[in-house]
Amino acid sequence: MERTIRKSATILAVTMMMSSLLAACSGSNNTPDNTKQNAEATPSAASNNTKEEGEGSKQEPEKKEPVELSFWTISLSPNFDDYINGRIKVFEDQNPGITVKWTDLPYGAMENKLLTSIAGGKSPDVVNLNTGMTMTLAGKNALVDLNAEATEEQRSIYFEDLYNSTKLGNSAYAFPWYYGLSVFAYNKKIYEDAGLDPNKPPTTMEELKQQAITIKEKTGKYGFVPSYNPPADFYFQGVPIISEDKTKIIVNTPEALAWAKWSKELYDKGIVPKESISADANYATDKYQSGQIATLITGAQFLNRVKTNAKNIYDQTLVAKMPSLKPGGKYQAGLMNVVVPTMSKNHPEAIAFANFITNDESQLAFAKIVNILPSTKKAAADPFFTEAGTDSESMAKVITAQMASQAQDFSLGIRNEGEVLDFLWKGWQAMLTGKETPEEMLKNAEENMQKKLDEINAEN
Amino acid sequence: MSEAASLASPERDRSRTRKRRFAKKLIAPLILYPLLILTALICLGPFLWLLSTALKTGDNVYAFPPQFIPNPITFDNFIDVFNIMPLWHYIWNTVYMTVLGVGLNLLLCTITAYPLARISFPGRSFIFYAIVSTMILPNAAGMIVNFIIINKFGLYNSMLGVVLPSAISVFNIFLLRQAFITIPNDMEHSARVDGAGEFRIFLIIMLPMIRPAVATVLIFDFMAFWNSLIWPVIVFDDQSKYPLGPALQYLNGTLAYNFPYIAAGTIISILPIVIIFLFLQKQFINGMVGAVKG
Amino acid sequence: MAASKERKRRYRFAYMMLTPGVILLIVFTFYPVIYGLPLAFTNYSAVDTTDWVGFKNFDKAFHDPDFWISLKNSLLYVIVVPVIQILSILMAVLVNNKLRFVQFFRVAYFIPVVTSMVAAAIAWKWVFEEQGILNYFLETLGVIDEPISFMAEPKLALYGVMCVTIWKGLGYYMMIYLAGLQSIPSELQEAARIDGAGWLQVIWRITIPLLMPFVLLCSLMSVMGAIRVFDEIFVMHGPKGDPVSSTLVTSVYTYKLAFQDFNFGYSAAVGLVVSLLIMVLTILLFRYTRKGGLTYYE
Repeated sequence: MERTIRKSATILAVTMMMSSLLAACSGSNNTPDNTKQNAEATPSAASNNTKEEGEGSKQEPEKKEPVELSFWTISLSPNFDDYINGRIKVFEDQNPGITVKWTDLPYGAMENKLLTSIAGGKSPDVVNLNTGMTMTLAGKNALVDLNAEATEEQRSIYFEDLYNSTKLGNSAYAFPWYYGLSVFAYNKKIYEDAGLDPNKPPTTMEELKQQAITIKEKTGKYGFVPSYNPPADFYFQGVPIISEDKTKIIVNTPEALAWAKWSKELYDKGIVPKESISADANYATDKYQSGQIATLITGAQFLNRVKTNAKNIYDQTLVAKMPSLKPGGKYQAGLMNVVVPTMSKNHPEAIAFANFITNDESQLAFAKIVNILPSTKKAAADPFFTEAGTDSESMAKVITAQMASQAQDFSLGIRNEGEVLDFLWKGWQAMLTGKETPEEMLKNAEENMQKKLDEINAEN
Repeated sequence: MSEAASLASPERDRSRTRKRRFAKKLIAPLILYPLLILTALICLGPFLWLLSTALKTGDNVYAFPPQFIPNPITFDNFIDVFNIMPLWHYIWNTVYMTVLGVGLNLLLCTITAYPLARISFPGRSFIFYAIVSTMILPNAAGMIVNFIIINKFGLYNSMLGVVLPSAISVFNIFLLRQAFITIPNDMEHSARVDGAGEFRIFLIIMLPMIRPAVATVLIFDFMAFWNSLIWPVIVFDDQSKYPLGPALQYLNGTLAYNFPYIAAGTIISILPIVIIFLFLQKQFINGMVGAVKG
Repeated sequence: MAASKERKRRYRFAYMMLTPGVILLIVFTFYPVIYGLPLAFTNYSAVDTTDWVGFKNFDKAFHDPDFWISLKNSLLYVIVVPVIQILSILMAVLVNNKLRFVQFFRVAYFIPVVTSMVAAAIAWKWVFEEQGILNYFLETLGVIDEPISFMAEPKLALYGVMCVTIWKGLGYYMMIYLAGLQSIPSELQEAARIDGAGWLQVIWRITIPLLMPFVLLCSLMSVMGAIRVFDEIFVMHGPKGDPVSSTLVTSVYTYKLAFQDFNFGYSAAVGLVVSLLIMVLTILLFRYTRKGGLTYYE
């Protein structure tokens, strides 16, 4: 019996070796035209499909043939079906000959579908992406440079800081869409239980820390859940992160060390939950809703969730301006963008639609149905954003709208920035869990990031 | 089973065996049931919590310490989920996809496994080991290559495009081949002597013999298709064609995250599999016993 | 003459039966594998131009700490195999009893297998959280004073995910073992019992030896599953294997490289190295076990 097994194992091994050899042989012919195939996939796919009838019209905007644009968004359906479909209808009426096919992708499916579709020659025309994903794709030349292809008129409607979040050299790769700024929501009852004055929310992070310590001592509950974003946090504390000419990493500064130590102390002393190390927005919101955490630092749009999921907590909720990291500093805006992939066959139409869905009118209408902030100047100036109601949600709207001019979505502005920033994220976690001291963390992160940056700069 | 054994045993052993069996009948359940229940609690715990969450009203979902039995019990979450999305439509898509996928799998895997097990044609081991080797080889670009192929065949945005890449599974072939091998040769010989054709032998004689293996394949394939998440989203361009898995992910969006809805949606998606399993499990066991005793 | 004609007819039948399946396998399984292998020697990104880079990707992997961490974690993950196998055999023995409601228990044990990972992860996070149910029980029972952070403590996070894998796998293997147990002629066990063997002896002398081919098949499947574990980790700890890469395994790492960094070439290289390792492991497993599940019936 054993012999049979040995024999079959050998056969198995030989077969596999053969097949990999075979593959290697055929591979030498295979991959060079693999690149070609990629490029070729586009026309062949187009011929199969009626939708790309306007092929070749890329350079001539005056063509007459009807164009169908495919527009992909992340997780807006079914709640915003009416809004998006309504805007599409308006666009189609204004632009006869162009139809828009909207596909909303479930949360988490975007990266898979987008990459596979572009590789398979089925690129969408207009896509909703966050800044990180935009930068990665832009670094791979997969997105249209809007500084080159969009008109000045199209570009000028956005806040400059937000438009520049996706800048790479002299190019910019996205129209900014909606974003949320964090507000400071807190549970009046827990504040009272801890003997704190609910009318005096913290204005600085230091005050927040002191209050959190008091809350923990008096009630045993956590004061807050920090949502760590080390690169952005450092940046808004005044750490440059990268030099102007994008050649040098500057992370190991006194400001950075102070912030790292401050955060570590809170974490070590158990003033904030250990899980905050990798917590997402859902985590903090869930805990706040269950009344286990006194405050919630969150995008104004999430307050609606507290309202529907835990009405009794919502009724005790007061909102205030975010305690600032640095007086007069800027605030991190988790921005959603709209991009046009290079592989789209209808650049001018796609850019026009991308611009339309993010224009003043569209964004204002969107902001009226969900608590987000518009990225365009005129929409943000609308009286709607200064009309405060009495409930927490509309107060949050007014508070965040006032901060809009200080909003920025931090990015390094280099290719493959994710790979560089990874060291900072990992180092931060290593520091909180005690694998590295704050000093070591900053030193190692700076070294590793510099090494990576040099690699990237050498490649280009 | 006991009948056969006691007939075989000598007369004098009978009473002793009976006594022991009587004792066993009393004591065994006393030990076994607590064990069974404890294991069931561990296995079902998280599931029961989902169920209880799905039956809670908003305020109680986030109560701490946690509320184990919902009070009051509400079915609103289930009703709401059906209201906010065309759930029946998604369920129908999922049924269609699953039936097509499982059907193709059963057909293709049995006809592929059968010759590999029963006919020693030239090149048999080569084909078999080549097939098995793919279980180990890396498939880095699998999704992308499959997408390109589906696209070339003009199957983009079609159900066949979703189902075809997984219409045959190496693991199933392996499992079914193993089952075909165990069938004694006599059956096949006598059928051949009776003048039955090859395909007839396969369909009428051999296939019914491997019912348990077919049931196993059916259960696992059903599960795989029913729960598929990513590939349908890649192939389908229309949301309205999505199956349940991706559709329920909409409940998980950041702008509209509602935990009781997610729980209710999940319960709805699990139920059919549980029912199928409940139904097939008997077939599975009966088929198994039949195959062994027959 | 007639015999050889008959044989040829049978061969023709065999090839006919094989054709549709083999064609599909070639198109959707072999072709992608063969297409994917050379990618390991390129900088393929799926969206940009592709160039040959030779062995650079492999060189990079050997100097990449994340690659080694993920490999270590993947290998460490194999410790779930004996746990799953022993527990699922015990469960199979348990539900193989002719008791009332035993059907119900079989279904109950199988439910984790059919639960989607997204749902399972939500439920298990709730178990493991600092203010989760496990800490609640442990604190109520007085076992611990301070809550333990099963999710955020790098030393514990991977073991937490292992619990989910074990929980989700038990029912699956239990069913296979149950089928195995029922394939053992009950006369054998009955006869042994009449000969005066205790139940432990029956299990040890008869059940387990006859179950061996199933154990080997299941172990093999389980080892491969463990080395390739993806869903649990991805859903519970994200593509980076938080915290501090403590739950980073090779499959999650290759996914991150491919779909988040768009480094398909490098991802393919890492995948290839891992596959070679799995291959070696599989061959070893076959060589050092007495009865290979693959050839048992031959």
